[in-house]
Amino acid sequence: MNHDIFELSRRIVAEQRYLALKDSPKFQEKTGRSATQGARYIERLIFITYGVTAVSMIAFSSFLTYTQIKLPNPVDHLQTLSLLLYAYIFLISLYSFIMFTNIVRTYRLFEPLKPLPTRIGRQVLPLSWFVFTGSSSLFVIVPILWAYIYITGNILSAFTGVLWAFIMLGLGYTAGSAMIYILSGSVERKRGLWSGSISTILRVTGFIAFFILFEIAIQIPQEIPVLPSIRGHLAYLFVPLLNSAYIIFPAAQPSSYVYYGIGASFIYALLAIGLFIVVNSRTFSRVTQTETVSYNAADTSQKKLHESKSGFYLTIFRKDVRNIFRKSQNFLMMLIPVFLVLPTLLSIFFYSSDVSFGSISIYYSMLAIVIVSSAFYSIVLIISEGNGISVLQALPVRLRDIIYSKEYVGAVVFAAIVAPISVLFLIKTRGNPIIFFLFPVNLVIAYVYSSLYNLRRLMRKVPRGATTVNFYSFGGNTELVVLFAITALLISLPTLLSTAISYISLGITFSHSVAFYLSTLALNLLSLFIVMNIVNNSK
Amino acid sequence: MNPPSIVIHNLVKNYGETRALDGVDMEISPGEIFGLLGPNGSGKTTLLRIICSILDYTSGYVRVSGLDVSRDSLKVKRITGYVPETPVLYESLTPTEFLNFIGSVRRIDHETLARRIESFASAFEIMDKMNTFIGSLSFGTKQKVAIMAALIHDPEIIILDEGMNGLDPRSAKILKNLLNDYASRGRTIIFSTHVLEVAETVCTRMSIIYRGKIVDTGTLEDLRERSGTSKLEDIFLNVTGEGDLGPVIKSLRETMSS
Repeated sequence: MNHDIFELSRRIVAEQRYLALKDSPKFQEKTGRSATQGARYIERLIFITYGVTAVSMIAFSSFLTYTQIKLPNPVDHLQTLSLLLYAYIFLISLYSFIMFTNIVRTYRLFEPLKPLPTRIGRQVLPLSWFVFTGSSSLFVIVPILWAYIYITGNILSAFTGVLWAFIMLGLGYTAGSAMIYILSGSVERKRGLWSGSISTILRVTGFIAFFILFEIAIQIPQEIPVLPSIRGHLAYLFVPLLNSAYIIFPAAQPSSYVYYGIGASFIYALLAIGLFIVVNSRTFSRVTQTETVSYNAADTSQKKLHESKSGFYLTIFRKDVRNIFRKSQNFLMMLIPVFLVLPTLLSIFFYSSDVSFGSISIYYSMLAIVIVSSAFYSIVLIISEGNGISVLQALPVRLRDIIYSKEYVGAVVFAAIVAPISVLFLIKTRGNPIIFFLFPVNLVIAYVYSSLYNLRRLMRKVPRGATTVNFYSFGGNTELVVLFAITALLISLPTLLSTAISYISLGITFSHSVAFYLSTLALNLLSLFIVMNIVNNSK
Repeated sequence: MNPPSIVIHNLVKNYGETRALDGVDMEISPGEIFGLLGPNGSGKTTLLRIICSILDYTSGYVRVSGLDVSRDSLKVKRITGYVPETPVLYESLTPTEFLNFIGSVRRIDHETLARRIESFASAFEIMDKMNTFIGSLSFGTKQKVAIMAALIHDPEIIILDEGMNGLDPRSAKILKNLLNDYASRGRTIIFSTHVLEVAETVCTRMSIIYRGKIVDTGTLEDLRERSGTSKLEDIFLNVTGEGDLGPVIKSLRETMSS
């Protein structure tokens, strides 16, 4: 590997971490002693972050694998689980690449390299992401492959399983790149006109629709109607993409499938590489493009010098909305929860007509969306400030004012996403009309109090006098996992308590019950009141 | 005589084990345009950020208009206007949107805000840039927007960290006149710079800060008298111990010609 390219890749990651750390007292203490200590601290942190992610991936999938091998026909169950884990690699890859690129773009990390007499390799961006961040998610397949090989004695799966994991990682990167290329282009071209941009909405909708189809293909292949109509040997060339178990565990299929599986895996690997090369070069030019170029479309013809009068919170709300929806890197991050929860949503959608699924089961599943969105939007709404955090810090605003103003933006976006989804699911399950109202309201309240708490936690971590904030200012993925845990704890308490109350009072855990939603609403409101009290007393 | 609007006593600020400010003492009265001179990394920015309550300090005593900057942070921010060393603004907003945002957070009434924005924009000749995204503006224009944002609420204390950076001569002159006008209305102005001509023409009194310590304070005449030289550049180099630059320049010349 070219040493310069590797060194540049390392430099980009170190710079990201430095920007996140530079205002923290702990880091200042290290650099105060010597610059070498500061540099070592950053190197160590990169290594630790990678290690923690890899270990948590192994722990997470070890747990899932263990539960499967205890069941009858463990090989079948492992194959089913593998669909989830490989889809997970894809999603993590997509998400982490967008987060990674966001910082590269926001801080123009390639800018100092531009005047240098060197070609900034297009390899730097993927290499930097892959070596120091992306590859850590590959560890999620280690336990399941190990278990499979241990049970069947089939070594071939170690090769095909790892190859497929790399393909999914590459596809996640390519999908992330495509999102950045397609969506950032549209947002930037429409600056100043975004509110009326039908084209932007169509692009985003189109991309999400395509993504949903892809997700169905890799996760719920039996739902693809074209599958049964593919006949003969041709089917086995298509089947691997739709059902990766054929590739990962070829030995579990009839012997003739093995060659199709291996052959197809190479074809898909080549396709993925081709796609990667095409998308990567375009995305790289978009990422390194100087922002000023994309601002040129601004409307300078207006003579307006003042805006309509608005209250304090509305002013900050308006600023945040503009900051998020006009900056494509921020806008992209607001979309990530939609992609992360798609697998859950798809499962609910396809299986919610099942008799055993009442609206309460769906409500429990929808709490996953609350957890992801609450944790994610809390971080995004703060890091979207970037260098602007110093503007906020210089203004006479209280911590709670910042928290509430950010909360409004997140709640509006969350409600816009969750309300139509809820209604769709409720129509599918023919729920009670009162539940149509209580169901989304409960979800939104759960989102509001959990994200208020998360925002408070994160804002208190921003050091006084901070000049910038980014994803790693709070600990990156580790903090995200902590926020997931906190949110899960906060929102599950009222729900579980409500289930317990209904069980104790009526002796059943009822589905489609208005009483369940009413008691959840009461407990959610109580939680909201408690969290608001904590936020109001924040210094 | 009016009581001083800024009182600093034995101020210390540490970044880890590095001492950025080391026992700073200072008093600045209303109506003064006070210059803070010092080489790069001498602690000017740290001191100014502490005064406007953006940054905490390690020990000492800092009062701004009688307010404790660490305890009464919000009140201090209400009465101060701060222009940072490099203009940090929301690049995805237009100057109009940004100034309306600042005005609204500072609760300036609507008509006053509109009048002030218009007046500043025409004085700095950026009317045609007011609805362009800040991200696409030149450094100088961003600096003008940052100055407007700091002055829009007519603050009691104005703090400019290298405030003339990037300004064209016309805008620099307007700013100097504006500062004189503010000073004549009893406002306090602190102005950090390492451009000594600016300090000479703008400041009524100044301090020279070096390695976190105030090494001299007074009017330009006081400083001249104490150092025995008339040029501020020489005074500055003498008190900071960097007076004899001959060997440095000689060494550099030799390196470049070899």
